[in-house]
Amino acid sequence: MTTLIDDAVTEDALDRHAAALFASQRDRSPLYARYAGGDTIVTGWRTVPALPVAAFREPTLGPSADQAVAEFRTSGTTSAGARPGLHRFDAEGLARYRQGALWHFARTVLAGLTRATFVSLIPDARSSPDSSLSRMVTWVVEAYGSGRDVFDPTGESLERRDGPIVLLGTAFTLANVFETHPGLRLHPETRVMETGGFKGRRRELSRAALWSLYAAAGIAPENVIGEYGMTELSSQWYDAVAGLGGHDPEARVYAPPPWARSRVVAPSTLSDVAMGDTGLIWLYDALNVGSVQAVLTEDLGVRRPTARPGLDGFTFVGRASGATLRGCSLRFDGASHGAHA
Amino acid sequence: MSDDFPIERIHQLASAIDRFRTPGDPLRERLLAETPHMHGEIMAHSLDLALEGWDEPGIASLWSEESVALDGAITPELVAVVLGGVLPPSHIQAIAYAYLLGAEVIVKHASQDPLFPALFAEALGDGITVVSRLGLGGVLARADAVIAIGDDDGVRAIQAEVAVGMPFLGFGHRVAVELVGDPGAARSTDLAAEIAKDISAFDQLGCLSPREILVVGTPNDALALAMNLDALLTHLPDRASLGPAIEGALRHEREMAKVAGHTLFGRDDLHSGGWIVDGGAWTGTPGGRHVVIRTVEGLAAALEALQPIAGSVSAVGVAGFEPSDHLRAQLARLGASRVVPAGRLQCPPPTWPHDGKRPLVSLCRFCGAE
Repeated sequence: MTTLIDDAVTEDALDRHAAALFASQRDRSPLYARYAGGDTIVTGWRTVPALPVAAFREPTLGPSADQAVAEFRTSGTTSAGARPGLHRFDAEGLARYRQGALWHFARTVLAGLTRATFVSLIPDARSSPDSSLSRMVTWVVEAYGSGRDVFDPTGESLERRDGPIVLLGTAFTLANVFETHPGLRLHPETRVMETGGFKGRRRELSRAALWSLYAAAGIAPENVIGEYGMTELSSQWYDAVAGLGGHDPEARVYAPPPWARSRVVAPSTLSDVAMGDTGLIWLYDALNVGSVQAVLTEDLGVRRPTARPGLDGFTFVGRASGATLRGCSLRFDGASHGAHA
Repeated sequence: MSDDFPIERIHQLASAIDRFRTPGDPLRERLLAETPHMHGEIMAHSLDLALEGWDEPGIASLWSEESVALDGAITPELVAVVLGGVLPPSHIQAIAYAYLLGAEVIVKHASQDPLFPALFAEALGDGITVVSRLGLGGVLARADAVIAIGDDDGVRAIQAEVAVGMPFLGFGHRVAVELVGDPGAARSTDLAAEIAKDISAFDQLGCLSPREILVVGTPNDALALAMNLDALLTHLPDRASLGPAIEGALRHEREMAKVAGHTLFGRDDLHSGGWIVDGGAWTGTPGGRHVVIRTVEGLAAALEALQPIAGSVSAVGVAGFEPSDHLRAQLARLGASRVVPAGRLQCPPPTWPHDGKRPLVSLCRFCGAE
């Protein structure tokens, strides 16, 4: 497994992994077995039956509560009575999650830095134990922090920062912080990892408008990195490598780590749409060993090529209408008011 | 006012509508050929269903039903009609209400459908002007009554732009249901044919389209209905895409039905179909000729199942029993303004109290003389 967390992972290795893992995941989960059907033959990652993300509301998916060392829940929902999604990890799965998250973060957001000073608008794992995003940023800060790092959901400490930092936040909290601190000026080498959206929790800003706020604070657009992740997965998609990001936020393409893949599929056929067309985002994550390795999201994306030949990515469009609103930004809507401080 | 029976306007209106019912009429043929939202065959049979009561006697009945209440009414001189959606009948109804009152009518066409309002204005002749979004601000300021059709937020936004006391008719999101009160009826192919008509008309895009069928019976009764429906729906022409957002939601809900172990029916390419659910409360579907067939233990359970859409039910198609006055009243409290035999959901007569309102009276003002 650890060989998958490597730039050199081959398509063939990924296919073999997918086939073997599918068999064990189907055997472990009656729900997934029923969904996949008894006669499904998986020959590679593309043929893995992708479970709809909403299926994670079923508590029977993944390790049992006894086996689990971590349980992450999706953010609140607007659908009355609907359970939040639940993703349980056993010790081995959590270790892989951590290893993959750190590996990919180092090569995208840090990109050349071995240490950094972090300011996280996202609460730490102790404050928000059921948030996978909080767990991830806590790992990152523990592994790569300088010792002068803070978890500061209000962003108040930013006024006192004079050196380069890595700022971690959801689009929602970042917008709040920069709008309420219009005079904020940050070091020109500051990097931003921006995740999630607004989820209807405040006046939405376009990503371009949000980037204008960053620019006013002295942050270079090439140092803004978008992250796309889900509670239901173990890997993250990033839309740039720090220092190399394009200046047009709408043109940024989310790309997977070497052990993951993304497709954009037509709802009617579940086959790939043509390059440049819009469809549902379908994700494959080889590290998602404890539950299912392929999920059909409720998100819409446009199929785009990535910098790596033959590897597809996507630009994010929004949520399929009628789908339940939920996401990391929603969970943290109280954070900017100090709820998790 | 009630003495001024608008014979000429009724005649003009009926003649204009008739052009969309008459095979071979150039306006109807153009609509069938050029509408991008549905196959011409679907549009043709849907228009035939929806407009069957909109002849001179039918329209005269609308006037007659409201004439007493219209006594002494100050009718509007200019009505702004803001259209949403893509369904000709709802556009006809809105325009007809204003036109019958003798008002000058300015229609803002829906962004997705500039075609039908233009064709209907051509058929109607003088007294109706179709505009795009750009000219609307001034029209709302000048109008003395407003009709708005669209999603709830859109209708609220229009209403927010006019004075609180302005006569305003708003038609927002609504949904229809079918209620089958007898297991034997559920297994009938005749009933399936009637329900298929209700589902397929206008490709299930309207507020009179059913998204759920409540069946008093067992899952096997529901399965029989599903199989009969599927046999009919599967032969319909391909439908137009509803766009990635709604098609995506439909795919997701279909896959989640599979996860939940519900019995799916219909084509996996989302052409048409649905799933069977035993008990529980209304969920509906995103559309696209898809329905939930939900089994319930009795009529009381059916009413309970509809609670999530209380206030938003447009109409109820019934089969296998004769609804009592008490049941009709309970359905009306859920929002239903029509309770009709299955197969008749898509045929609202001109006298329909659209969303529970008397449309002509709602557009007028009244002034006491003391």
